[in-house]
Amino acid sequence: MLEIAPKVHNDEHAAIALRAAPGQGFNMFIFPMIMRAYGGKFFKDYVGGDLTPAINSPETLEALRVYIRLINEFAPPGAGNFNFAEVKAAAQNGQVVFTVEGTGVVTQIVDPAESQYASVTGIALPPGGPAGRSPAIAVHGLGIPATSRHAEAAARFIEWAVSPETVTKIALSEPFSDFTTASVARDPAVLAKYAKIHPDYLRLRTEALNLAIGHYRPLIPEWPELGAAVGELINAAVNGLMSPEAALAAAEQEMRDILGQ
Amino acid sequence: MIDRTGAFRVKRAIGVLVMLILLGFAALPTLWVLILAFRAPDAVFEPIWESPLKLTFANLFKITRSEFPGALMNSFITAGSSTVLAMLIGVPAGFALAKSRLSGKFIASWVLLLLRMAPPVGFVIPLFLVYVNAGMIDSYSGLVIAYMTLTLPLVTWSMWNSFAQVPDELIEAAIMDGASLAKAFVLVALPAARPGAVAAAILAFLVAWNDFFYSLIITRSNTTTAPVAVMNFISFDSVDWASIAVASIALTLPILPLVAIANRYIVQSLSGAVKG
Amino acid sequence: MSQTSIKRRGATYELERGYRRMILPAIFAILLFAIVPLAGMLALSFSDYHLIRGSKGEIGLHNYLRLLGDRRFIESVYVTAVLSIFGVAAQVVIGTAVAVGLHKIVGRWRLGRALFLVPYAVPHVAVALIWLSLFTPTLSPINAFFDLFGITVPAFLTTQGGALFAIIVADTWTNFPFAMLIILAALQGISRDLEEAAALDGATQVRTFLHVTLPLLTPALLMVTLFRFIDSLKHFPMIFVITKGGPGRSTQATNFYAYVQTFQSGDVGYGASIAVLLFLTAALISFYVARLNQRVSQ
Repeated sequence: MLEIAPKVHNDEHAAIALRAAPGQGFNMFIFPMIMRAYGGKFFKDYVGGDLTPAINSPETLEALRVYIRLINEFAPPGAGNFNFAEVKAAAQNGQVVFTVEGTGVVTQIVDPAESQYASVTGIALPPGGPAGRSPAIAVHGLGIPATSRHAEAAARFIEWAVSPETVTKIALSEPFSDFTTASVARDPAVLAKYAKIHPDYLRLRTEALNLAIGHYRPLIPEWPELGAAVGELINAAVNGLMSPEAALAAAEQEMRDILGQ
Repeated sequence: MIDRTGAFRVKRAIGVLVMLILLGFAALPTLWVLILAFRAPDAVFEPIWESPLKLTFANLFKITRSEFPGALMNSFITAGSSTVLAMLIGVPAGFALAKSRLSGKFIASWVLLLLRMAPPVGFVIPLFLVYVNAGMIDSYSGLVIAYMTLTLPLVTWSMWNSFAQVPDELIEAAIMDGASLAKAFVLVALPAARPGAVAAAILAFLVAWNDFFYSLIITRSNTTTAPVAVMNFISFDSVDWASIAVASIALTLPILPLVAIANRYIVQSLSGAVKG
Repeated sequence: MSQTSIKRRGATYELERGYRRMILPAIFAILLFAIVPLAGMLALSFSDYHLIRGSKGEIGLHNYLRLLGDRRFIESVYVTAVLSIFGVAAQVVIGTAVAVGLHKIVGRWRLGRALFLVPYAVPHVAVALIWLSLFTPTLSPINAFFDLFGITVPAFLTTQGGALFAIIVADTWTNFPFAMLIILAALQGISRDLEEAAALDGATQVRTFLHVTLPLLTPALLMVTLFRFIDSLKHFPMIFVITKGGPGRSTQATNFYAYVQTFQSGDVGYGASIAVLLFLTAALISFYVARLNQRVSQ
């Protein structure tokens, strides 16, 4: 991507727009993808249970440098604060050539009804790096608080909300394709709808899902706090307030503090 | 005394120019919001001089179908009731502070000023924890209580100043004539301090109406006030600038006449702080 | 002792009791709604209470010790200082300039006064959103206007200086009319004779303003500055809406930082200790104002 970007970047339109605003749904949705592509990780061994922060590594530093270059050299002015809304607007208005976005929302960029540039927009799997591809994934859970007064009703609501019938209805009525049930992806009406938006869309989505790891963002109770802190520091580095080295060192230190190590 | 020399004219021209620039600073953002509120959806990002006629009323109708009108109602309810409560409690207290010979008035004035100036984040943390446990998050009563921390010190303080300007003799005469203290307060002192009371009520309402912080933290979807509800137009997908503009106007219009009435008293309540 | 004086003393006693009864509800309400929460905040600041993790029972000065070494806290004090000093200065200077201008215009230009007052009526969230739109490069008519001349306006919200500037501009826009109102009232209270006498003595307009008018405005200027300064310690909606504390963390003023620690990180005890420090600052300033008040009234 760094090779193509300079060739398509000019005064009329920028090469790329990426989510960069601090926050776990924002830059912490995009950056970990680059980080993992370069072999970086949050913890020493998440799967093995060793939660020693390990974000301050040469691999992550390399990834952060790439992220910073992409945004500062090849993105529109103000991109250091872009969020999905800005990325989407930039892509729909043809201000940028590339973006890397979530499957649940990327339909809004490639749908001819939404974007005048949809016909010339292609989609592909997110780019990989020396350590392979790690598409970003957002996993949501629905929980019932222990103090809930209507726990059963809540459970029944959740059952209804994630049932194949409901999800099929959502997939058909909204530009939203992140069905949690595989059977929905085989529904003919759904297939037809998303084929009209983009022929390769559903196939790529499934491929990306298979490549993605469930703990893309660590599934621990402290994550919201960790993600917020790391996101703010990454954003500071992108906007030149800190050096990438200092940002990662601070991120690792703060992760330790939050985890009480 | 008026000299018409060249130097005078130059100075005058500079003065007028500076005033015009400042007027532009004050008025142009308002004009921009008005334009934005009537901008056709496909022209929001176009400069007005490129497509001056792409205007529409649709944004106004669109916002009536959102949750914003309900939030405006919540704002009226909570700001209104906290103002009424603060007046009921604060006006008699202001009267008594102005006319009695109580000791500790300096402490009282300090506490009132302090409460008026204290950062809301100090109140909100304990209130939040209590509300969570008492099930008062997202309730009108919770928000009204929080607003009382803003309105009650304000009303008491400004009524203290207003009643201080009512001559002691008026009240003494009424009591000499056999009126009870309550009667003297209601029939003599209150009418004399009416402009001040109107101003205090307006100022209290404005403070509660303007609040963003308390509402953000202790309300959820049911009792959200309008200032927080505006933020719903900034969603993950897009920023609905036209609706934001309409909502900003809707937030300002109800209080514009209040500010116009009360601005003289804003001065008085402060010069009250200068003169005592 | 004569019969009447006893009666009168009894009446005064009766009266004072009446007054006390009138204050009682206010004292009760203020204790319940304000003092109790404040005491709660103080207590929390010594605890290690966390919104999610609860408390491990540690009680002491650890939050305050942590504050001393917290670079984010020190940075937040710097941000608050920049916002307060430049913001209040801009508001007082612009407010005074407009007040002097309006005062000079013969026949009292009421429409002008009203136009200058409008920004003061706009609620702070709306103010913040209006200026956010004006600092959004793709939307702002300011950017579009300069584009006509081939000038690209830089993106303000991606640098610390630019983001602080944006907050200060928005704050100044809505609050300079407050300064204007107070100064205008003070100007109208100054006798014209004094200025005319100075003019007759041959003083220029500028010198008259500096040596005669300005000293007489000092009490009003002091009041405006103090009140605006205290308010500026409470900066919240502007930061929350315009910069969200960013880029990075570079515009997290102390009040905002207390919110971040309490409600985003869930560190209630630590957030409370920051709130206590803010509160003490406000207490010191309001003590000074109350003393000033007492001295002037005597």
